[in-house]
Amino acid sequence: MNVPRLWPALGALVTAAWIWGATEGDPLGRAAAAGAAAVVTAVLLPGGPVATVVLGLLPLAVARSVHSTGTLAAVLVPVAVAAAWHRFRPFSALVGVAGAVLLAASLAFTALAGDGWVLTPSGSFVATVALLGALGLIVGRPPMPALVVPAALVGAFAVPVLPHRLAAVLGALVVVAAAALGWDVTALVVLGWAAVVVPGGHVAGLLLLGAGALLAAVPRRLALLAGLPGAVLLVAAVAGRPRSTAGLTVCLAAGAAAALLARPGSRTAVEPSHLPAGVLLGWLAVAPMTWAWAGATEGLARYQSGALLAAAAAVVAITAKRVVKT
Amino acid sequence: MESPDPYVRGRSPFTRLPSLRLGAAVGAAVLLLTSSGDGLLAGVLVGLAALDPLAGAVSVLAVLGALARFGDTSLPALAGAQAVLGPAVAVGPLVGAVGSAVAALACLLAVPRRGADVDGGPVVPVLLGLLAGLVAAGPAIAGGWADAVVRGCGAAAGVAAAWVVVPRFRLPGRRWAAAALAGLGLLLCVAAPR
Repeated sequence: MNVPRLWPALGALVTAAWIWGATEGDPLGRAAAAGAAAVVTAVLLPGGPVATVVLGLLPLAVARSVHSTGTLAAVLVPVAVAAAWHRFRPFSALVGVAGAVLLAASLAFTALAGDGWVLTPSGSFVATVALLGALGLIVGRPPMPALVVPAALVGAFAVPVLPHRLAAVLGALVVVAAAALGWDVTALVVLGWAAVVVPGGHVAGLLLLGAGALLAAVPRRLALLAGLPGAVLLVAAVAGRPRSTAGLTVCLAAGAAAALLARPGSRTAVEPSHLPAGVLLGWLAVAPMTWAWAGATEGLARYQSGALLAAAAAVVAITAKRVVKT
Repeated sequence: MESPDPYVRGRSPFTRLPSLRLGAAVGAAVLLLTSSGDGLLAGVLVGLAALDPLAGAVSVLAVLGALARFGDTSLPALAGAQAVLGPAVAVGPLVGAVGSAVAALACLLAVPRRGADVDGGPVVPVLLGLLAGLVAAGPAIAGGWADAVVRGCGAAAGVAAAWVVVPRFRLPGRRWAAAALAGLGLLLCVAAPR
């Protein structure tokens, strides 16, 4: 039995589960876990069954540890990084290990403070450590795709604990620096973290984080388009409220990053295993209002109707072109 | 008998454009002609159709200028506001009107040099012209005859300027001037009292 050939099928199942989870109740954890599993399916793992199982379980453990016990995640993060060590560039792997250690340290600090083994830090110091750990997991090009969702999730819960204006300004600086280095996934995820602390930007931040995680699985610059709904919502949130330093800084950083990243990236071959994450990317870009887990997305009604119209027109035009050519 | 040059390209941009750019161009055109969807999406699609970051950046900055003046990036809201208040370049305050005019001019100047985009032909100038018309004089067509005439004239003038007039003049640094003007237009629109 050829295991790699099963990945697209697994990814399809996960995608179906995600569709169900996204339209029901409060499925942030399920969405994160299922989305991460879709990312994992996009990464053919040569490390054997151990690395595959560990990396596949990791997002589930981290998603669970956000609200309840995170002991499993503390054990799994360093193991997962070690398991995937040989697959990534030394820099990414080294920073990933440092990030995993910091993440485990923040979990230990939280437990020592009597808050239990959860990855929802309540103090600035622990939040900073957790955030640095999460940043370590997504730094580099490419970062470790399977670790991006857990890192994004931890960061989304750690950032609001910090002073908002400081977090937004520092986040904006990191976004621009990452974009200048061509680290598109890092830039998009950190932009999501920064958007979370912008007044009214929480939902926009979660959508940007989702786009960042999926971008890690589909290594094409075109996939950056999935960040557009989050950016539109962020701009609407900033424009619809009294001017705030955090909002303006993050919007400027988003613009600068978009300009820096709007050049052709590496053209990695698209494989069948990229299909599940690719479907999710297209879905996010065209119909973001159906991503119910992110929260209230009514501000995207005009965007979504236009995106659906444009996508339909594009499909008709491309089909007509192919018919004319044949 | 085999063609002497089997790699001769078709004459129509419809068949010459790569599928991705064709899809983006048609999508952007539909949004701009029907005033549907979000302006930022339309701006990004214009940049994608042109495969030109500068054209995309100028388009997005022009839409952000409209956001600063009318409070919304959605194209229906932009069209509705202009149907009620008047074309953006003709309605005060003066600073805002000048900002909208400068943003529209930036869209026109961002047109790629003639010959630089062999595959696209007139596609990108037409899209940028439509966007310029929308930013400067883009009331909703459904608002009545007067609005339809204003909108039609704005779109026609934008397309004519972007396709025919601008490429005739070899202005050095034209496209960088477009980026600078787009930034200036946005600043003027932000500075204008609402």
